[in-house]
Amino acid sequence: MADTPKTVEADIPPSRKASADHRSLGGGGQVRLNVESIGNGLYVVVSNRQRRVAYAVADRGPSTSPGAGRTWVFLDGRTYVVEGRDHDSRIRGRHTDDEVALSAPMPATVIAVQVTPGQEVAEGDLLIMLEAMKMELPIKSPRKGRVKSIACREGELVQPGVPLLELGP
Amino acid sequence: MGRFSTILIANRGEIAVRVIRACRELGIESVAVYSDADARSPHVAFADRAVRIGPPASTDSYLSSAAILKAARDTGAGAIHPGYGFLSENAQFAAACAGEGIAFIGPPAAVLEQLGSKIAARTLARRAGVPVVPGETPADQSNAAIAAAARKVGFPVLLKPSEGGGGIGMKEVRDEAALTPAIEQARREAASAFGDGTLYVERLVERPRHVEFQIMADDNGHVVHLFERECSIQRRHQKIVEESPSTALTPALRQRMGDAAVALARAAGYRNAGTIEFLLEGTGDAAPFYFLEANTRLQVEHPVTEQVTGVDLVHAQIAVAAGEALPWTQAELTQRGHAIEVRVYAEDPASNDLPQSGPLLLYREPSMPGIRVDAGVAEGGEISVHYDPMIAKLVATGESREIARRRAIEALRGYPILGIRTNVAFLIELLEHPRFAKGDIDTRFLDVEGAALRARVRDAVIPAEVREVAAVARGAARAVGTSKEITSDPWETLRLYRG
Repeated sequence: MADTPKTVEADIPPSRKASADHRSLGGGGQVRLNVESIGNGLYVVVSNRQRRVAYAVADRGPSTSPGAGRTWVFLDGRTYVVEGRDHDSRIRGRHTDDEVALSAPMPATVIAVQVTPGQEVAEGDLLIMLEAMKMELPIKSPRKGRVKSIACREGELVQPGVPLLELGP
Repeated sequence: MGRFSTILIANRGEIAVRVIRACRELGIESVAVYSDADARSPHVAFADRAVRIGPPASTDSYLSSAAILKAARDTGAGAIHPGYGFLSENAQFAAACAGEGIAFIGPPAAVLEQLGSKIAARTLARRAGVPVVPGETPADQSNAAIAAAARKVGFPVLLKPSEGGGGIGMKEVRDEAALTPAIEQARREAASAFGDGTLYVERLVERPRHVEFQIMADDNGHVVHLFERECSIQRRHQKIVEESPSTALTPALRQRMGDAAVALARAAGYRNAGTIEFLLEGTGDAAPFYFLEANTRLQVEHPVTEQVTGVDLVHAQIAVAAGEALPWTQAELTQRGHAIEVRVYAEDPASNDLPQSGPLLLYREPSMPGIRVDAGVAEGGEISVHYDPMIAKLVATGESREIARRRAIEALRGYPILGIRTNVAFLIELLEHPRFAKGDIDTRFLDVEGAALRARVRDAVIPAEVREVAAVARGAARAVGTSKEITSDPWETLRLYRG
């Protein structure tokens, strides 16, 4: 792992966390920031003469998996997810003009489909009830509209990002 | 009976790993069982033998007593350790084990049955002289009769729908003046929510703490307690932080509660490990406490007790199940130092604790003095959608509460789990909360403070350092290509451990 240490000039935002001021970077402004990979997922971060160890891993799963392209970083007890350039919005639902496709946030089992194609729904109406890890996950209508199609059935195990229901205008 | 030569562990995850380790220490062969979702899990890798018991759904695998008993017969196991959850409190399963001549490492079926029923357990507690929260359902449901019941129970009272649950229609009444309108409102709400306006009048326990006592009993009538665990930090009745000792207990109060726990265990004819849960009101030698329920199994939070008493509860469970006497007397047991356990969950505190599933792309447990991590996962594995989202329990021990608390925070700051969202940052904020630091906690702590704690871990802005680390990590990934930077394969490590 012989990465060339990389130094950049960066704007550091003011600390958002007062109680952690012994670790924070103080006020905004230009600081030197140096990140060096020391192998095995460990990175030494030097900013404002303070040295810290970060852990990071890029998700190189298959491009079809919901997490692909993200980089996960752990620094000072916090986990950050940095999206790749081709930010993937499938998880929140795909927007095509007036149509919205709704999908599961995680692998889940469909417990109930509460609507039928053609049905008018209002914002906040329960459309599909999912269950995962002993918790109910309601899929509610993001707006008023008409159910265009339903692509799941009760009892089915569904994957994140795969459309369950299409909502028309 | 003699010690067992083979024990089957009817569980998965961290508790299975923990029991398998105890078996190894005792020179007992361990048999893991697994569903298809767990074929590559550490508990399977660690065990001497492993038997597939079914598909991922727990009802067809870890909850299938037929599949588990067959695995026990096929491997010649002399005993089954049920862990917690799944079949651990199932009286029919314990009876079926006994019927096959296999020792169930836990209480007998009759005890599971009696203490498993809240009503029967409450009756038993009363008979054993253990206080329960005073309350009654007056036969006469007139305003006057309910008011009389409230006076008898003592203010403040809670009016509850007799048929209800989930906190619906409950009314707190602090004095006589507020009583009549509250009765009428509670009755209307009970009738509309449950179709029955019958009211139950219960003494309101103010700012209660959840304090439980670990007990252990053998076949020869010896019963001991191993002191308390304070478990007031809960959300939706799920414990998140547990510690021992409790900051609310004085030596005299500890004695009274310990005596009550032992009395109840004796009255129940208890065997093996168990926990008696109490609600504690206030503090001081004379503070009132009330029996809540009994947990007839090893608890998730048992390491807290092990850390402050220095005993191994799983070793003792195995010995007692084999007919041996308890390894310690009450006088030999002492509480030393302080231990705090936090439960690390795969969940997203920023979106209402939504459970998370996914790959453990990077997973490194902290290793430092006074830290114990009980986990059943490894880097390269995954948190499956099929089971409980608990990843690990981190237990910090020190000579004082403050040392244990700071140790827990420091350990969490060095506990990277990448690939799924976890509650690690939330736990750090919780441990740093001034009220927690002072030990000023009760069961409503997270109801009151939870929203503010969650807001603190919701990250709107990604710091420049993190963006830079991500850029370097992505660059490293591209440069090295498929050979990437993770040099140790956790499965190699597991094989090495196996020797």
